[in-house]
Amino acid sequence: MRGRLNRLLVSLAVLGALTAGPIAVAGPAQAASGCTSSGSGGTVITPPTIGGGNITFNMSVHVLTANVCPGQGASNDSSWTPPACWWQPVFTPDQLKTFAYDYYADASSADLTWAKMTEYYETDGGKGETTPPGYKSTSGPPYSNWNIGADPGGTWWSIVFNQNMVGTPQFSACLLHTMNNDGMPWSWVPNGDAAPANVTGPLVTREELAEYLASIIELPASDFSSSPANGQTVNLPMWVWAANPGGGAGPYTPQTLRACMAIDPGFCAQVTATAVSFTVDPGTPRAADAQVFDPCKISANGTVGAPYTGQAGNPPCGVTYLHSTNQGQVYQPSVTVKWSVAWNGGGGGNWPKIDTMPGDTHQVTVQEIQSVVGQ
Amino acid sequence: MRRRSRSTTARFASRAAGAVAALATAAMLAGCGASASQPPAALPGTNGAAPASSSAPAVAVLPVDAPKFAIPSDLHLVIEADTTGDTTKDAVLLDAEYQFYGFVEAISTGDVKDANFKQWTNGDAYAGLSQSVQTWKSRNERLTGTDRLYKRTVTMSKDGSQAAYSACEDSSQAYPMKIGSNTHDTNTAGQGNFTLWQGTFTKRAANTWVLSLVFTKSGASQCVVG
Repeated sequence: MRGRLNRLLVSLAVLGALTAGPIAVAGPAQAASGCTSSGSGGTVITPPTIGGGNITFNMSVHVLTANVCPGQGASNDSSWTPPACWWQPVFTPDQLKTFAYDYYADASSADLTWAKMTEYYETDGGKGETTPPGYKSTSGPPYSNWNIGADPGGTWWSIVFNQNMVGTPQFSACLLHTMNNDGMPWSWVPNGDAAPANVTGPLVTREELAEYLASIIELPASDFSSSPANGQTVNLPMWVWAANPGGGAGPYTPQTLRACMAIDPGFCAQVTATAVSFTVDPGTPRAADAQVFDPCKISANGTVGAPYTGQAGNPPCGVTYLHSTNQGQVYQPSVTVKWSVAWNGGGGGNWPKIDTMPGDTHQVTVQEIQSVVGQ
Repeated sequence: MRRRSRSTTARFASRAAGAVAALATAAMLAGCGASASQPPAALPGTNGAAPASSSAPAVAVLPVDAPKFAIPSDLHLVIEADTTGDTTKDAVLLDAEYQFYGFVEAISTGDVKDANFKQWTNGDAYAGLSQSVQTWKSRNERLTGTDRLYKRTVTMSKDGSQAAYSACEDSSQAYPMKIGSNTHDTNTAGQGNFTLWQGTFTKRAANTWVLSLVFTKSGASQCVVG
């Protein structure tokens, strides 16, 4: 994993893509579900976006490993709200000094921000003076030389944002907690300590990281195969199933997403979404127009129902239309898969989270039975 | 638990002229050696790029003692008047206006170290917007037409050191254009032309504010008009 992270950072640097995304998705990940996912999801809790595009800074501090289907399905989930921001470890001392000089340093005397910043984090004003004898990383503020080389080791924390929450009241509130109690954007946390004590903003927790993952995990689309695909006949069953055409696991195996802080404290969180129900909506104007065969049980390997291969009798999952469609009319069957998302920490609030993924509709016409009279 | 949003690619941003990112490319007149005061090229279809409509709210005008910003003459920046009556908030709004002009000027000069840009932008915001400046420069495109800011709001932190800033941007009358070309591209962004900006201004001195963080959301419902 460490090697993967290093490569990721290198590739970002080569691309010139910068980054502030504390979380970068490492990929490709082999999806267990039969999906051919690359898992290269992109950044998350990220820094500024400009013109709708991600702007990233060279401070990628998270690694995500994904085992998900690519970009399918959408949620109408509204029962909970993912975190809009949190404070987390973002920079090593060396990284912070580089970042500050790249994006804050200003030679103009009018810039009191930089003067105060160097006074707070650097003390010696960048003159290269040696760290005072007996200086500890915890001696500040004021700190010496951004705590480079100081003991005990640690990380600089700052606020990071969930860009998916832009435009929400929670996000707006976050914008007023971007500084610590000293009016500075980064707070020191020595290794082993849980979090900075001098900030008013929310501090990252494993559970919040998990909630964020639950908010971005991409799940397989809700869809089905049927026989016949169209041209149903009244009172004869339409078989409905979900399977991988190539055999093997079906689309609804558990999906996981995992993220880790790339620097201390380096904790990880993982969420697992498990498909718990597969519901068929026959798509008729009146419920009485159809009979649904259910429950359409999701098997351990992610398949649903049984493919029609000429079997007689009723299907384990399917629909029998009881009335034909009128001229120009279609029924619009669809399926909805409900997922239960748990995280690996147990307990906490509002877990598992339920995510309902409605599927696109199919269109079928239903004809009256046509008897063929033998000669 | 969401559909992976189609990432707004650089190309999209370019074609779309959406948001200040596109705006950022504006001013590329400077890139071909012309001064920003050069008369605008003939732009079929721009409709003269009149600022907003006749029914639009009053437009904020830069104070007489405002810094001089070099904005291409065929690009109109329209910032709707929005004073709050609160001295501090109005100071933030004025600096936000300067920040916007400074950013556009940086695009004009192609210089991420543009003084007027750096004066009102630092930290993460500077890192992000600098990248936007460079991206548009690398595309050899600029923006023409009209870009409008409205629904600007400011909320102060309890200790008065931070200001949460929000604004809507309407780029529907703005168009990307290759440097040296005299015809602009089609703006196909649709609702993506309406962009929500949210960020934090931090106090750098008495009554002086600098943008330290900024985020955008294209097509935000709060901003879509018509």
